[in-house]
Amino acid sequence: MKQFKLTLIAITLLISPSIFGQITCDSISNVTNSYLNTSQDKQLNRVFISDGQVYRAFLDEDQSTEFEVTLYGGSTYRVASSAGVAENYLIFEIYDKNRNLLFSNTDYNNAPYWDFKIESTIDCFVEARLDMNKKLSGCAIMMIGFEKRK
Amino acid sequence: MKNKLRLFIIGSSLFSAAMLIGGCGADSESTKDADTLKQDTDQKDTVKPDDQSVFMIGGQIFSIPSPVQTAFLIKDVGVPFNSDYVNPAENVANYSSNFSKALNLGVYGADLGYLTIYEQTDGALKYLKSVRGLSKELGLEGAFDEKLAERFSSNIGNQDSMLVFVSDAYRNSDKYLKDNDKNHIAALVLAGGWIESMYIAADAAISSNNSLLIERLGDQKNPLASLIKMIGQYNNDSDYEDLINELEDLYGIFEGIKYTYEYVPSFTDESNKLTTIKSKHTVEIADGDLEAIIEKIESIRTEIVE
Repeated sequence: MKQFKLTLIAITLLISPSIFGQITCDSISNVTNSYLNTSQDKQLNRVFISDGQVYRAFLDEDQSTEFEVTLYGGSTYRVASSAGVAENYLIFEIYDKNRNLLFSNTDYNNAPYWDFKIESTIDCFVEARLDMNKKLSGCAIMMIGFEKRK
Repeated sequence: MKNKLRLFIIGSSLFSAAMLIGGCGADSESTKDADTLKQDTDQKDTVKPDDQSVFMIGGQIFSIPSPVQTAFLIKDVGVPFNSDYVNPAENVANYSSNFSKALNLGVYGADLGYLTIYEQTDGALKYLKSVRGLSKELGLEGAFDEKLAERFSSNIGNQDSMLVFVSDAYRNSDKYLKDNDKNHIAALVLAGGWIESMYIAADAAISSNNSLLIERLGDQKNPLASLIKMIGQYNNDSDYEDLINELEDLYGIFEGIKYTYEYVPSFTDESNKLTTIKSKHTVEIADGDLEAIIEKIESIRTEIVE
């Protein structure tokens, strides 16, 4: 009986934080998704279609994550991001392949989403990190959608 | 004391179970608005830095362009619908290994997008059935459930909604696979979608000789490099090795394409949260390279669907 209790305690301790963590990431994912199609978009009849991927990382102090993305000329994209409770936990920046900074959301109060009109196809890097003044570690989610032409 | 301990254990276990069940249904929150979701996150965002060890999130992140976006271009440039471009829905019965099922789940996703964009509603419903069949066999029925089928069917004629449902379902499956340490399957689904969209674009480029489609094919060097790196992480059996070898051969042809790039400062319209990326890029593909790329894509795609 004692062994059974110990096993139960061990299972409980092992599973609980994992589940809390998963839920947190799920919630952040849902918040990020909501930025892809906002109520204002509905009013303006704008539709952003997800590229079908979830870009996520668990970020710690001083850590950043980066991925390459090809954005097609003649398209408008939305990059959406979230790392939790507040809208401005996550910093994201976009660089071209020569490391010229094309955009940083730090210039706009760490805006959680931003649209990009692409004149000519470009290969770029999306870099994300937590704003250390606001959050020290946690799950970060980014999503990319392209606007369906009317 | 014993009773208290027992109550604690039972309570904790039940709470964990409840959280687990709640977590499984989290995707159903996707229709909530941002404010409601932020309130939810406020309440749930209880993970402390110490909990980070519980996350198995890491490794490199890769981005593969949406197959749906290329299908839009094909329609925009005036190439008519061609049912020969898609993998017959009946072929779904031919895929027995998880490797071929995952690749073809991506293939059928690209086909479903193509059919939906061309408003081939009967065909789209048929392909959704194939997608659901494969996803069930891969344990992804949660992403492509009955509710999705109902929403899709009841929105026939509303192309925007249909495309959003399908793209969201693929994104949910991508998330589920990554949450459950099945990144290798997620990578194959993305690979299948990319290869099928390139196959359709290649056929459309041949039939139309349209410069925008040809340029779109030429723009695939970086996405292809990402794809190879992404699948290369799971290069642990002959199936993966064969696919990587084929993709590397294809990449070798892309090495012959001439690209130019000129940085031009971006322009931001803050009131509309819009930045215009003004940098210039050109692609110059020799006829021989284009033919070789198209031939190679057709060969890889044939291997996958047959």
